[in-house]
Amino acid sequence: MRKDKKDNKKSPYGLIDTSSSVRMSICSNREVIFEGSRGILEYCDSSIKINTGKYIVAFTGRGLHIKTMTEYDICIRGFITSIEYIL
Amino acid sequence: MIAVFILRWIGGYFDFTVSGRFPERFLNLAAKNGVNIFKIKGSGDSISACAKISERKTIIRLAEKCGCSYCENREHGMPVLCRQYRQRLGLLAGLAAGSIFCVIMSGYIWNISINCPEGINEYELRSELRELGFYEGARYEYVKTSETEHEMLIRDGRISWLSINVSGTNAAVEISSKTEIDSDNSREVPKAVSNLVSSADGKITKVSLRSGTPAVKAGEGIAKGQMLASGITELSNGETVFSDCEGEILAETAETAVFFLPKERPSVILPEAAVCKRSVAVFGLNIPLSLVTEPGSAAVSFSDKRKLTLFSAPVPVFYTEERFYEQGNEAAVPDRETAEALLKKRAALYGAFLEQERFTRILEKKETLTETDEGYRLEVRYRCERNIAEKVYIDIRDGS
Repeated sequence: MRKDKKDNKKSPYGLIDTSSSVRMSICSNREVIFEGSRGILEYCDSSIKINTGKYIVAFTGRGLHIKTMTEYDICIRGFITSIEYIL
Repeated sequence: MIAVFILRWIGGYFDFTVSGRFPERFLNLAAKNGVNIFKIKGSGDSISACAKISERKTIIRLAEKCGCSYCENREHGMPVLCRQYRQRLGLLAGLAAGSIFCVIMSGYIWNISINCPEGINEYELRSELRELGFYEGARYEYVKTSETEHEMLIRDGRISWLSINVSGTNAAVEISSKTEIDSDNSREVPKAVSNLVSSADGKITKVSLRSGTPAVKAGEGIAKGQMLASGITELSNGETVFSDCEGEILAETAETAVFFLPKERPSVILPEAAVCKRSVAVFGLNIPLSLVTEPGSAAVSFSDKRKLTLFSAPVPVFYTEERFYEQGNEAAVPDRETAEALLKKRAALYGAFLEQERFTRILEKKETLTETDEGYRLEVRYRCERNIAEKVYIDIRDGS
C-alpha cells in the first residue's frame, strides 16, 4: 500500500509526476524509441526485454534489432508483434 | 540520417562481434560508459555492432569485464582509406593537381551565351565583344562588364540595351535591339495632299478617280513620270483645294521579260568529293583531329560548330566539323526542245505572277527563242493592261 502511494506520486496540482517514468514513441509497428531504460535483459532478433526498474518491457516480433542506444534511450527497429509489461 | 552516416564515415568506425553467455551485459556496460555503439544485431549468444575507431580500447576492456570474447571484423571510413592509400603519392599528387586545375580554370569565362534579337548577327557581336576583351577563355578578373556594356552601346547603334551577367564560368549576354520608328509616321508633313503619276509608258484606256482632278484622258499616250491626276484644284472663285488623289488609271503598256538558260552552269560537286576537317577546341586550344589540306579559294565551305554539354551544363569543349566542296562548272547542255519547254515554263510562271501580284491583264504576248554559245534566250514581249497610277505626296508646309 505504501509502495503504491510512492509509485503514484502526485504533483501539488493533482497530476501524476512523469519525470522518472518510461516513455515510448511507437512508429507503427516498425520502430520504438524507448526512454528510461535501466538495462537490456534479453536481446535476440525475436525478442528484446528492457528493464525499467519497476517493471520489464518485452518486445516480441521478427528481425528486431537495436539501431542505436545510450545509457537511458534505446531505438528498436523491426517487425513488432507485441509489447508486454512484466511486473 | 545521411549527415550522421557522413560524420561516422569521416571519423571512421569498425565492426565487431561480442560473444559469451550474457552479451546483453556488454551492451548495458557500453551504454553506461558512454560508448556509442550502433547497428546492433543479436543472434543467439553473440552480438555484432559498430563503434567509433577511437573507442576500440574501451570496448575491448568492457568485453573482457563482462566475460565475453571479442572479435573485430572490419574497419570502415576515411582514416582507413587514408591509411590504405598513404603510400600512393601519385594519387595524392593527382588529387592536388586536379584541385589546382579546377581552382585556376574557375577563374576564366568558358561559356558565353548570347540572346540575340532579330536583325543583329551573333557572330558580329561576338567579334565585337572579343575586341573589348570579353571572349570565351578570358580571365574573369580582367573582364570589366559594365565598361564593356557601355562600349558596346556606343559602338553598335542597333543595340538599345545590353547586359552581361557572369555566373561562375558562364556568362549570359542579354540584348535588346532598337525599335525603328517609321519615318513616314514621324513626318509632320500632312499626307493628305498627293498627285498621281505614271509608273510606265503607255496608252490610257480608262480613267477612274475617286478624288483629285484628272490631267489625262482615255486614248492619250503617256510617258513614265507624267502626272495623271492632281491633288491641287483651283476653284473658279480663286480658292485652292488640296486633296489626296485616289483612283485607278488603266493603260496599255508593253513589257519585256528575258529568260536565259546557260549551257554550262556553276555547281557544287557531290558530297563524296568533299574534304572534311575536324577539330576540337579545349579551353581555347584548337586540336586538329584530321590532317587534311584546305582546298583553294574556289571551294565552298560549310562549318558545323557544336558545344559539348555535360548533364545539361555547357562545357568549354567545342567540336568543329568543316566541309569543303570544290566548285566547278558542270556541263549541262540541254537540247533545243527541252530548253524551250523549260524557258516557256518559267515565262508562264512569270505571267501568272504578273496577273496575280501586279493585277495586270495580259492582252498579248510574243515569244522569241534564240540560241547562242552561252545558252538559250527566250524573250517575251507582253502587251498588257494595268493600273499605272502611282501616288506622290506633296510637301505643302512652306505653302509651296
